[in-house]
Amino acid sequence: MIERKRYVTMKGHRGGLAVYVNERCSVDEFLDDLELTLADKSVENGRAVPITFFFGRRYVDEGVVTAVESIVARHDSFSFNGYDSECLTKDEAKALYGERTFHYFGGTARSGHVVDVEGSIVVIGDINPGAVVHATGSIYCLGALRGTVHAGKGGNEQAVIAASILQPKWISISDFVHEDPDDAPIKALEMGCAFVGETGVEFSRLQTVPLARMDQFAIDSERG
Amino acid sequence: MEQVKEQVHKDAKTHVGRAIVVTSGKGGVGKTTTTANIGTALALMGNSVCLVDTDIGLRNLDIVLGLDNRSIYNIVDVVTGQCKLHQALVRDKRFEEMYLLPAAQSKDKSSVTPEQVKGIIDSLKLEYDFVLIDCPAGIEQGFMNAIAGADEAIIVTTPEKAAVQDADRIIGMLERSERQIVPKLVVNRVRSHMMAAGDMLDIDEIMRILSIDLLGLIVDDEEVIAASHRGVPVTMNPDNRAGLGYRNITRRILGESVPLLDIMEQPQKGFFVKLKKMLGMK
Repeated sequence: MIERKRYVTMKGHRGGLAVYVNERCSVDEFLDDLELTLADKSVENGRAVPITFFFGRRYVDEGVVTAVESIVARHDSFSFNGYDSECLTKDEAKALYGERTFHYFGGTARSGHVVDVEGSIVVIGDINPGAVVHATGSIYCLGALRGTVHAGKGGNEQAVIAASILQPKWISISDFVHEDPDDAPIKALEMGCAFVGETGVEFSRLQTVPLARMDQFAIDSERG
Repeated sequence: MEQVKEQVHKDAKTHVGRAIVVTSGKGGVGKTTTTANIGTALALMGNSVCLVDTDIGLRNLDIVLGLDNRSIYNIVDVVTGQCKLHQALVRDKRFEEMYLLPAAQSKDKSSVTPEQVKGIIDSLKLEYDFVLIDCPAGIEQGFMNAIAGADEAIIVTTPEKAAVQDADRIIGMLERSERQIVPKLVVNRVRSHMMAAGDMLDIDEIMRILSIDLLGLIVDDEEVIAASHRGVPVTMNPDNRAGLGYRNITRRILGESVPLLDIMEQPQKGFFVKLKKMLGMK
């Protein structure tokens, strides 16, 4: 019997199996090999072993992932537990870079100013009524925030809005817009923070922001 | 000593004057009244002043000053070469040296360019201590014309949210303009009892939002309206509180330090005032 050339390597660890895929072979080659390997290792003991795939420096698109998933699905003794690859497309990288960029706006954003950034922003001054600040990340205002703000634009629900005095005319995070049931204007909140909670946009003093949201401060401060 | 003073004064006049634009963004907050009164007060204090109305098509400054029947040429005539600059200037005979360059009433804002206005302001600055520019409402070409030649700016606002937000916009535009003018603020039509009751923005709130230097406050007073109806700026009335406010602002422009008027202070209505009134003493 001729020894089959191996393109996938299996390693066991506590959480199940890790499958390392050769970086240089063709997709068909490693899919065939995966099929045979799984068939070899199948055992009838009832419990499916989760497999995590590691593609190394191979770029995998959705088609490849679906093919891998369907092969795993054909074997009862294994289950698909996600994958990891060290490669990104330029678009993905750009999006990631944009999200991670920190911007500064020096001075007061006065009525009529429109600031729109990819990433998070620190306004070193006030945001006055009539000024508009949009960010795909978080918005931090060192002064009084009295204008129109939208954080997490594009769907980031982890984004936060914090200000020394938080009294926005209009506030929105991700796809959530704050709407007062009585249409009353927002009361000024000293050292205030807004975040997405269970009921949509919620307000709180910075000191009492839920810890889950505090993570965002940590992430943002790392970027800075 | 007197001779030396005289000499210094003459030398000062050979210096280039200060061009100050009076603007607000919102209409109807008192730009023209403020221009007329500060100009009048400057003239009363012995400065040579030229007022320039840039509100082409909606000229008012000549009416407030009572000079409407004497304007012959206007700023558009100067720009188009119909007349010389000094021919278009209308002298206010009540003062030593106060002149008005009227706006045209039958043209519109696009009849002049910012460069042309700047040229006029620059040559006026050589002859007068102060050139006050009355700006039209809005942020379009008229505004651009008005600020083109200015070195300083006075923002007029009233204690209303709409006026303050428009003033904020104007401040932003001035700060980010080529000359980076940092304007000073005049709060007009102050009604102390409405502020106290929270029915109007109070002064602190306005200062917090706009965060620029306060030049002065003008209390709301019917006499201001009556004065412009007569064509006699209210600051010529020595007993009026609004007029006093304008004179204080003017002294601050001249570099004096003058305490702010106490806006809560009510006009005297005591027994003796009534008695004096009855006896016809006041």
